[in-house]
Amino acid sequence: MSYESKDKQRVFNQEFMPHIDAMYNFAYRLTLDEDDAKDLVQETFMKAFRFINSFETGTNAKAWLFRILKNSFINNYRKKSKQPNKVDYQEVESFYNSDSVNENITTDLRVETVQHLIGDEITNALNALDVDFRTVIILCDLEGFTYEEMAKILDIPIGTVRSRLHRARNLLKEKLKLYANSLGYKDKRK
Amino acid sequence: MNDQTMEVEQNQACTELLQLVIDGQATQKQQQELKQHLEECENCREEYLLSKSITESIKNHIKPNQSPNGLANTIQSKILETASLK
Repeated sequence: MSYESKDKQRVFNQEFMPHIDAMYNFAYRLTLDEDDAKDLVQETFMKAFRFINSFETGTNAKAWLFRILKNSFINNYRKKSKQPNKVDYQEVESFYNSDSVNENITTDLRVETVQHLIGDEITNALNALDVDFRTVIILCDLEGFTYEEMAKILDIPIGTVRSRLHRARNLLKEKLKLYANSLGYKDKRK
Repeated sequence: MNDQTMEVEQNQACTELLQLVIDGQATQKQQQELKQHLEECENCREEYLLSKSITESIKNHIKPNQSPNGLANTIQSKILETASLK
């Protein structure tokens, strides 16, 4: 789609700007730094304006912007960090499923324990996840994207979205279990 | 197919169904299917309640922030600047 110059600004203001808060929150939860988040949002909006012709009015602007933001994040911040580019999901999964990990966890995570946890504890557990796992939980639970939208934002098949989400939640459960244990929550059934 | 393989496949199917329902992306038929299964299977029922409580905790506790003051203005003036250069 090719927009006239004045239409570009109209589309930008009407379709893109309303998502600035959601974009900032996503950026902050990826970078965990306020200044980095601001830079990332600014860069995303500049790119969105530059590539506005590839946006079709009436389609999902929020998902389109999230995709640009996620790609910018990968380009800028992954390069800087020492983290490997890709998590070996299989390895992480088998690690967390192994008996040697589970035998240290004496208390099973229970619904009432989760309900006792406060915001900071949930936030810390989420932030402690590797960014790929954190991202799927943010997109699904906090932003309410469908699997299909997430697949587009992340450039991965829907099946991968679902399995990554499943693994992310298992990892989060493990973190919450460790948290609950360290805070001294005990299974009250006994 | 032996019993163990069947059990693994059954568990996997339950996990997938459970996830679809929790994420609000199950069809009515799938929701019904899970409801029926939960009445019979205690393990899945516990798993369902736990997963649901975690998802709800995330939604309730992690509140969105507003973008910092001035960010929207900075972006808009940069856009105007870029547009006027063309």
